[in-house]
Amino acid sequence: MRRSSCSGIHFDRIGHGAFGLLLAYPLREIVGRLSGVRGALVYWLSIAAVLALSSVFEIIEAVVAEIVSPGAGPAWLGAQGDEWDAQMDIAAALGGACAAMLATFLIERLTARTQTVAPP
Amino acid sequence: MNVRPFSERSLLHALCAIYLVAWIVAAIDPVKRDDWLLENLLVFAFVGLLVATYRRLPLGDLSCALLFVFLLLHGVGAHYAYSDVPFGYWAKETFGLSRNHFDRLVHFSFGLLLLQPAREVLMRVADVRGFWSWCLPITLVVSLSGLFEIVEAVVAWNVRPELGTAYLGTQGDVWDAQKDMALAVAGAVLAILLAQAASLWRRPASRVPPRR
Repeated sequence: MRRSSCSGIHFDRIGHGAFGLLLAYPLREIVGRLSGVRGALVYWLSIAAVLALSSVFEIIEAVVAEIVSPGAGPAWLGAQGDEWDAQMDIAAALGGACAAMLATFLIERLTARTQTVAPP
Repeated sequence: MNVRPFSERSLLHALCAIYLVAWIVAAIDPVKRDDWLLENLLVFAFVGLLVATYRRLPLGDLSCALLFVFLLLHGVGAHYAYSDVPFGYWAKETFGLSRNHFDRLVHFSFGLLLLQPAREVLMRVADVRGFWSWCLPITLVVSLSGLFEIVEAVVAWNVRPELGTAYLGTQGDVWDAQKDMALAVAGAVLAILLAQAASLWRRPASRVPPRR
């Protein structure tokens, strides 16, 4: 993947990935237990919730950046000069959320199968 | 919700006919043919999805009308490669803006116009009610806006690096992605407020007891 500016690995991106990886499951539980949505849609809506929260976070981050260092743009510390910082952060959260939901889906499938195969 | 059969939906016939004519007009000699095609890949996918799901989930007149307006705006943007839309230039001149803001208008419209269709789909497919019938659609719309920014960036890096900035339409704005998403959020919030106001307007008697 070619990128116009790449200044090494950003630790904060791991944080954004972890946000998706670790928050998708709690969000799935909230959506699954409170909203009345059932089935596969719960997984998709949990991923959507992570994406939406991540997007809102990027908006807040930009507002804070303009307050802290007006006019500096992505040169400020949080973005570390990366003009694609917001997109990469959201993509990291999306990746984390997809991984978490795929793992959850597979584990639930496997446990459901073992339960039907060997009833107590 | 009962939706009449397609043959009886004259509004939908009119919307389809107007959109088809507008799409053909926009397809003739667009400002940048490559950019027009790239923008229309989304249209093909989206309209294809609407047509494919029509039998199982035909959307109501309001949702169809809102999607029609959004597709029309996007069609105008695609024809003029977004950064060359005459209306955007007019707004730039009139209000002394720094750039052609037509793409921002469409990001705002995305939130404003897609909330109701998203809500209708979720209410009918998943039977969501009350708070969740507002929370989940806005989540979906904002997440799609974020996803679009990622897709836009990936396209800009890979498909056509030289076309990248034209397609991306950042026009030199460092906070382009954040502003785009913020406008989608604002549009979606406004859509919720308008829908709430409309429901109050439609049944005021149930809220305020009549004086006489």
